[in-house]
Amino acid sequence: MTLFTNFLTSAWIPLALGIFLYHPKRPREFYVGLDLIFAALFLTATIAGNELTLLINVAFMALLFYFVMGCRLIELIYIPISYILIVLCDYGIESLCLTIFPISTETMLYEYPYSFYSVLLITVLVTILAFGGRFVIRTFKKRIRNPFHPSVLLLIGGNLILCAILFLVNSWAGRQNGFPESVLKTNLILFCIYAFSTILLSLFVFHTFAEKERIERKKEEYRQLQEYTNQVEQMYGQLRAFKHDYTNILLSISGYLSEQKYRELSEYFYQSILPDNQKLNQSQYRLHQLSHIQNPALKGLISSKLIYAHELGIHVYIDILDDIEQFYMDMVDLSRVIGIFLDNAIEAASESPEKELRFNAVCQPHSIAFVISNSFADHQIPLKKLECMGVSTKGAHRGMGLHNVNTILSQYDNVFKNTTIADGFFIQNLHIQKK
Amino acid sequence: MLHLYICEDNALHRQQLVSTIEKIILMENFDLTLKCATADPDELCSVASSANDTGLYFLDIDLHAEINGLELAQKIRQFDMRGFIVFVTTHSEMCSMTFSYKVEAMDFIVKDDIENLHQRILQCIQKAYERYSSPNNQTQPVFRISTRDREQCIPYDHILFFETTANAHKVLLHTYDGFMEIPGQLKQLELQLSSDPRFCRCHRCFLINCDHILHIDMKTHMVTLDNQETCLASSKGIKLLLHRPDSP
Repeated sequence: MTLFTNFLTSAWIPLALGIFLYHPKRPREFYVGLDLIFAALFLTATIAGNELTLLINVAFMALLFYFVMGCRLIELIYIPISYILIVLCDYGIESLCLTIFPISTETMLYEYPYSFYSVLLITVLVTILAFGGRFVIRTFKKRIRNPFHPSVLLLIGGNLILCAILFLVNSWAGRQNGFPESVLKTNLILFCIYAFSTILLSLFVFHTFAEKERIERKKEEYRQLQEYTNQVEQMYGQLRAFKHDYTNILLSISGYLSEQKYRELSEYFYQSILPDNQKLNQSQYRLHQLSHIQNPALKGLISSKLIYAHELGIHVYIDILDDIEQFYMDMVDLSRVIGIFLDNAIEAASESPEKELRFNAVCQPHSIAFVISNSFADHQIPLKKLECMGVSTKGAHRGMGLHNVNTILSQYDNVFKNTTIADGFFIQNLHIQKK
Repeated sequence: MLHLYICEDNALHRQQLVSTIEKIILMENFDLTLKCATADPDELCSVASSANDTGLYFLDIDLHAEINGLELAQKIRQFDMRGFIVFVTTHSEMCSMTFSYKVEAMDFIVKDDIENLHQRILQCIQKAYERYSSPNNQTQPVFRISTRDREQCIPYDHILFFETTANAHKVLLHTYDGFMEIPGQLKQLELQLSSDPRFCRCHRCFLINCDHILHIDMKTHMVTLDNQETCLASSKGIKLLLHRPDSP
């Protein structure tokens, strides 16, 4: 009997973890890892089930997660979440049992049929709540658009770990005292209140943090627009100077013509005027074309990045002919995505010998497209690999950008990203269907 | 038969283009004819559409007519999908990227660069001639991605595999040059491509072109393709791959 209950009890954690973390692209190692977790739990449950072995198990699980199952560090948070869930179900069913049936705690835990059915019920409840929890977390992720900032996650994670530790202590103390019924009930209530309030607190902290970020973003937007206006004013100054020179050139030409000095005129044209014209047209910079983008935040961001690129000595080519008024996606998301593309393009172009960066935006009757191309130095990294977390041409411990882009764009059914290499250029193409 | 067309409003420039091109055709002995050189975009359209064959078009951007070079190119695209479009422009108007995107322009020639004009036109004609007569030009099965604004055709042979994405309505198409998101679901793609024996649904998330399989790892159930990318295969998928007539 105890073997059976141990079997099911050990299955709760891998069951909950499997439900929370499942997606179809999990490699085989993922399932192997879950089996190992189950084996470890079953082993410790049959030999010696106490808090110490549980801590060892948790450490073992964490190691498996990271090294065997291919899970990200952030997914470790599901270990305390699963544990809390299981404790909830465990206490809930047990206390329900004790209120309905006039039996003692020992009878419920060790005697058939109570132990059998209660464990079965707990398993079912764990499954249901795990699916429910997974659904809630998914919707929560979708509605909170900004990817979680690491310090906020650390706060929430640390909180949950503390929560888990408290319950370890609690269950140990409870066991020492032999589980009086009233204690069990009180514990359940206290647990719920504590868990609920910590979650609320974490959400509040996150919200405040998001507000702070919003304000910072507005400040940055303002600075970028100022930079843009400065640049455009500078260019206008250059244009006025040119207009002035132009008048002088015309005067010179008319002088040569009136005196019929055609040979001198020809010299003047080929040696002075034509080379100057070529110099003038050298710069395809055309920052003013950004005025077609009629969202100040996006315009400011793009201009800021392109000005920065220009200052780094990268040849920047801008090509925007159509007015783009509406963007059919959230502007914060779009700005973030374009920002990441531009950062990547600037870094790659500055490394390359050609140092070229091209920015193109097109508005067509049913869609809008942004095309960012850059020259690059070939690091021989397969294209898709560049999008994985932690993969970067700039060395270790980098490479969140393209992963974030994918996370952001996965929310949109009408936005499509193409990544290609053609003619020695790395090209990111963002295609937005008008709704 | 590849036909050449010119649309340029400035008579002097037009004459320059005509004489350069005729010289090139003569010198290089190309099998090409200059069908039409005009300042009127409508005339070019009517001549080209009635010709019923692929054309190489040299278009000025600013035609000082009812429509500009870009709009003319869009009109041409309607009846000549595979035509080659070359824009002839002054440096200050350079908007190559937008034009490439909207009408798939093949090249751009800068009027101001007088010395290199002959060379650049020669390069364009050579490129168009090569593409026109290449064996790839023959019909082979193509995968069409049509949105309301543009249609992309990718030969089946260039497709390495399809993959699901985090979004249920988008699928990732992988080619040698890169990858692109397309609307649709793997299920309907599987159906669409079921007539072609190359494509195999070896996993819930992957539909691969078996011609491009490099290596199958039986232990980890990973399939490596020609571009070193890996796909997963389910146990059923592995069986499907191994039981193909020409499996590695």
